[in-house]
Amino acid sequence: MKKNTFSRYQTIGFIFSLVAVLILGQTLRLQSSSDAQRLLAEIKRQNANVTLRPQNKRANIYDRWGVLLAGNQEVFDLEVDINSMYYPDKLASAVASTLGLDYVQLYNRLMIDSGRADPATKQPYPEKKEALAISTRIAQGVEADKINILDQLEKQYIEEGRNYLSGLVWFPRMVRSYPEKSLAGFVLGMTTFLDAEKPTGFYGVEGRFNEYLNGSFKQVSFERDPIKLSNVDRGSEGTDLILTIDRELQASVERILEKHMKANGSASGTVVVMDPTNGEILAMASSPPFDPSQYYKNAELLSSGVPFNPAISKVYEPGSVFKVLTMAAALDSNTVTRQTTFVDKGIFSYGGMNVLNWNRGAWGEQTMTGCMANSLNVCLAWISTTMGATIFYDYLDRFGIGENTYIDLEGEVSYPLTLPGEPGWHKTNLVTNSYGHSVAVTVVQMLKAISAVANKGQMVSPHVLKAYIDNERQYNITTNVEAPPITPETARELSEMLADAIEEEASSAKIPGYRIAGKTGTADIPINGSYSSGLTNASFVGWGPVDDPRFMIYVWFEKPRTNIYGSIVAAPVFKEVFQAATTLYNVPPDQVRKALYGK
Amino acid sequence: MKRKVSQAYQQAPWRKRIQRAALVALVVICVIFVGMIYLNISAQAASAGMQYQDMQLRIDSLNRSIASLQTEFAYISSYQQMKARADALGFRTLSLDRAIYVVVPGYSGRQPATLAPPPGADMIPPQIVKPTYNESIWDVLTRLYVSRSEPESSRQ
Repeated sequence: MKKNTFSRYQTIGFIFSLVAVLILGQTLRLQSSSDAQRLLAEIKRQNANVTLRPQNKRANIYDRWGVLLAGNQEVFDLEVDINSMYYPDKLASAVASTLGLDYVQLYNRLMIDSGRADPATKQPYPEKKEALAISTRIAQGVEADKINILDQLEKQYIEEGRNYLSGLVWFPRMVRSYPEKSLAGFVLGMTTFLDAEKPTGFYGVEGRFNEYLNGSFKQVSFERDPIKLSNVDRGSEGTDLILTIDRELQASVERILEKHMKANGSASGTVVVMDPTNGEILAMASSPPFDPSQYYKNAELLSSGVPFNPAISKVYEPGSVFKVLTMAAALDSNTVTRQTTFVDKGIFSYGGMNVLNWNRGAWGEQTMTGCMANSLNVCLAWISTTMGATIFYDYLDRFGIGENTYIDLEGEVSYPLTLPGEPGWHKTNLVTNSYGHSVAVTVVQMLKAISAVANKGQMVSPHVLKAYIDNERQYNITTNVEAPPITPETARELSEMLADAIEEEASSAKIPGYRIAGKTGTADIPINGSYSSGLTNASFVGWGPVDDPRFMIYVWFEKPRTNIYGSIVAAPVFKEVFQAATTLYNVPPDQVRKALYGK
Repeated sequence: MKRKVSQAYQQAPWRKRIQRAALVALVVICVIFVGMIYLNISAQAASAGMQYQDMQLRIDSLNRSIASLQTEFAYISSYQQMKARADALGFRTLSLDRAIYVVVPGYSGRQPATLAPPPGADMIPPQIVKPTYNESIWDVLTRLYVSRSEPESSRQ
C-alpha cells in the first residue's frame, strides 16, 4: 500500500517536471530561432540608440553695454509621417489655415506622397497604392506660437476621439535672430539659414568669427539601454562676443546719416566713430542700411565684387583730409614748423604739372595753420616737394597707408601705395599724394593713421571686439598700439593747428563749448581718367575735446548732389554726431569739465 | 552490534527528507533573494537612466527656450521699441544747452558689460556618473574572476 502511494507521487512529480522541461525547452527554442534573432536585431537597430541632434545654437553677440545684437530663436520644421496619416484633407486644412499655406497645393502633395492620388493628374486612386515617401516636409522655420496652435488643435481632436492630425510631427531648431534689425548691420554681417544644421556667417563679425560663434556642437548617439548609462559629450558651445559698438550711439549715428543722405542726395554715406585712445569703434554706419535678418533683399549688395561695408571694403581718393598726414610728416621731420610761412601765388609747377587751389585763387602769405584752414593744395605741394620723396613716403609707410589695418571684420581691402621706383609712379605723384589724390584709402585706414595725431603720437588699431566669453569666463581684449609714427610734440602741435583752423574758418563743424580739431576733404571723382565730372567724395575727419580726446569721427559722402564740398555736407554731420556722443557719454563742455575736474 | 548502534542514532527517514527539502528550499530562496535584489537595483538603474535621457532632452528644450526668450526680450527692449515708447511718454532728447553737469562722488560712470567672471581657477566639471554605479553584480563577479585568473606577473 505504501509503495503504490509513493509511486503515484513520483509519477505526478515526473509529469510536472516533464511539462516544465518542455515549456523551458520551447522557450529556448523560440528565442534561439532564426526568426527571433532577426526580429531582435531589427528592434535593436531601430531602437537601440537615442540620437540627439546638434543644438545649432550660435553664440550671442552683444554691444559694449551687454545689449543683445545677435541671438537665436526657436523655430520648427513640420513633417508628415505618411504611414501614420489617415486624414490628409483634415491635416492639410489645419496646417494651411494655421500657417497661411495654400490648401490645395498641400492637400495634393499629401495625397500623392501617400499613394492616394496620381502624381500626373492629381486625381484620387480608387484604391490606395504604395506610398511614394516615408515622410514629407511641409513647412520650415515655423514660429512657436503657431506650433502651439497646432498642438492645441491636436489635443482637442484626441479628446473628441479622432486624431485628424495623426502623422503630423515637428522638430525644433535654432535660427539666427537680430532683434535690432538693421542697426549695426554692416558690423554684424549676416548668417544664412539655408544650411540649418550648420549656419554660416558672412561679412562683418559673423564672417570673421564664424567658427568661434558656431562652437562644436555635434550629433551624438548613445544606447537606449538605461543600464549602459554614460556621460554624453555634446560638444562645446560657441564663444559669445562683446563688441565695442554702443547701441545708442550707433542708432543716433544712423539716424543722423539717414537724415543728411536724404538732404544732400548722396549715392552713399559712411560715418565711423572711434575712441582715439584705444581704437574702439563706437559706431560704424553706412547708408543705404543693411538688415541682416532680411539679407535676401540685398542681392545686389551681396554680389561678388561689390564692397559690403564701405568703411572697410571701399577705397577712395580722400582728398584734403590726407593733408593731415602730409603736415604731420612735415612737422615731425622739421621740414616746416608751425611758424613757417608760405606765399601762395595760386599755382605750383612740378614735374610738368601745375597745381592749383580749390578755388583757383592765390591766397598770399599763409602760416601753416592758414594752409590747413584754407586747404591750400599749392602750399601742401610745396611742403611735400621740400620734404622730398624719401621722407614723405617713409612717413606714409609709418602711418600704414596702403596696408590693411587688420580690423576684426571680414572683408577689409587695401590698395597698395605706388612708391618711387615702382611702375606707375611719376614725380608728380609726390605732389598729388600730398593733397590726397592718386592715393586710395579706406575710412578705417585714415582713422588709424590720424589717430596718431589725436592720441599724442600713439597710433591705435581700430577694432570692434571688446571681449569674448569662452567656457563661462570673460576675456577682455587689450588695446593694440602700433609703433608711433610721430612724436607727441608733433601730434600736440598739429592738433592745436587744426583746432585753430576750425576756429578761424568758422567751420560748420565748430561746436559751441568744445574745442575740436578737424579737416575737411573734397576730392574730385575721376570718370574715365578725367576729373571734370563734377562729382566728388566729400569728407570730414575730426576729434575732440582736443586736450582730452574722447571721440574721433570720420564722415564720407559719395557724390553729394546739393553741394560738392566736405565743409558744407560732411562737417555738419560731424557736429551732430559729436554732440550726440558727448550727450550720451556725459562729456561736458571744456570750461565745465575743467571747472569740475581741473583738467 | 555496530550496525544496531548506528541505526539507533540515525535520524528518521522522514526527518532526513524534510532536511533535504528544506536545504533545497533554502538554496532556492537564496537565489530568489539575490535575484530580487538584482532586479530591484537594475530597475532603479534603469529608472535613473530613463530620467537622465529625459533630462537631456529637457535640457535641450530649455536651452532653446532660454535663447528664444533672450531674443524676445532683446526685441522688446530694442532701440526702435524703446524710442517709440519714450516718444509716446513725452520724453525728448536732451539738448546740450539745457544740460547741467554734476560730479557725483564715487560714481565712475557707466561700465562696459561684464557678462561672465574673469578667467581664474578652472573648474573641472564633476563626473556625473561614477564607474562604480555602472557595474552590475555579474560585472563585479566577472571582474574578480578575471583578475584572479590572471597570472601573478601580469597583475604586477
